[in-house]
Amino acid sequence: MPDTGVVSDEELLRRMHNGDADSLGRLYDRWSPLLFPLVVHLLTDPDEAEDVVQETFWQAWRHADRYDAARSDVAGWLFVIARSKALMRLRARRRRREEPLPSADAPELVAPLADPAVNAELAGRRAIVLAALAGLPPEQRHTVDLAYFHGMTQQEIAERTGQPLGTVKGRIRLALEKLRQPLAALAEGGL
Amino acid sequence: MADLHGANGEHEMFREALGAAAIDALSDEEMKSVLEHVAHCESCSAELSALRRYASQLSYAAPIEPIDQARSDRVRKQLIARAKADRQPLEISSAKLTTSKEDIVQPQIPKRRVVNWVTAAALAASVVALAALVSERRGLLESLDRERAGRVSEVAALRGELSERDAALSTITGPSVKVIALAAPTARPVGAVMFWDRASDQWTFIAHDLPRLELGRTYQLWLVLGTSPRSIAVFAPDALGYARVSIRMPLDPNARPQVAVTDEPGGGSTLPTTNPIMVGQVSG
Repeated sequence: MPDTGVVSDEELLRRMHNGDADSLGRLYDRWSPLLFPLVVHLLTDPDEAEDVVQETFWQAWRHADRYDAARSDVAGWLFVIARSKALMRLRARRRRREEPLPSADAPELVAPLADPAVNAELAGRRAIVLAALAGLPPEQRHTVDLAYFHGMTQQEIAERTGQPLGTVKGRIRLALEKLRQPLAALAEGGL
Repeated sequence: MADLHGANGEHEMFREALGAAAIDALSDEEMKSVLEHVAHCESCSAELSALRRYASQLSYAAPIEPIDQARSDRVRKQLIARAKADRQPLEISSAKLTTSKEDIVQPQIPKRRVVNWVTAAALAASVVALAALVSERRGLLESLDRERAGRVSEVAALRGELSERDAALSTITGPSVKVIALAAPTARPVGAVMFWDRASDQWTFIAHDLPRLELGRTYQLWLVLGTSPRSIAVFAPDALGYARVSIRMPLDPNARPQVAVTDEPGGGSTLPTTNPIMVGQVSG
């Protein structure tokens, strides 16, 4: 795994289940650099993103025993939890039409990934996913982008892009079919 | 989700929606319908699991955006503290507080000495068990104290948020507020309003339906006094094109500035490099 190559994510979860808080810290160090940008990008509010990231790892801590390796790798499990929590907030906010105030005086920002080993593995995985996305026709790629990285429903995408709902549905379906082979290989076997 | 409830080909329609379900692109009602079907359809259940498994890998392509390291460190610290408090022993010790006579049989030793030894042993065991109990109670108490402190902090944060919202409302509704409507020079259906609270020097900008900019570009907000533009902020709208910027900036209350928004390279520019997307001016 990225940070040491010694302790796997699954082992960290096992230790967390046994009450080892330091393992939670290691899991956080390993995956929060990827979860934070994903959630910030969805919510556009660093404060809310902070809550979601904390809730995600807290859920992993409290329910480490519920992780099922047959369903996803640990990173995928964390992604699903974080994204689900972020989407819940995003859609509730949209229903209320309440939006966050962007900070006018943003704090000093630093690069998220400090560990070269983490950088290398994440960069490799990222390259595979980006290449898979780049292989999609532009309209399918754009539709997946709006759905996955902006948390929009098919209906919202149709309204936003002016495309018929059926077209949007078709684009998502076709895109996921094309992404299946490269992403499934990544999910099954890592790099 | 009417189109998923047709009598014919219902299974196929649900199956076609599984991809959207895997990336949460369905409305709540649609998702509910799909999950109800999946609960009774083995093949769709397996397919949705597979789709979710690989679709989650898309997260690796999340836009790389710098994060606030201090914020990340704070979250880590809080998590570790919560985790440590969470796993304090909560069960009361099952150690015996007393020792019965039946537990101790020492026939070779004179009775009086046995009684004394038994008493001493029982007392010692009691003291040890009591100490363990006290220690555990103390741990539990400390854990509860930390939890209470966390709740107090949450309440304070909510009060602060409420206060901020009240303050935000006052900056756009008070008698000292000037409203500057921004309009697009082109026919693009975008618009925005700037509220200038001259009493508190608070500026609040709200825009709707802003189009997405190309990768590496950002919106920049300007205040133009005469011919001198001054950058107020760079900002990015959300997925629905909504943006709100709030900033404190002193300005002569009698000034008549223009407010403009331009499309600039990421990070913003020191001076506008493109024509304004929208512009507005304080009226007399």
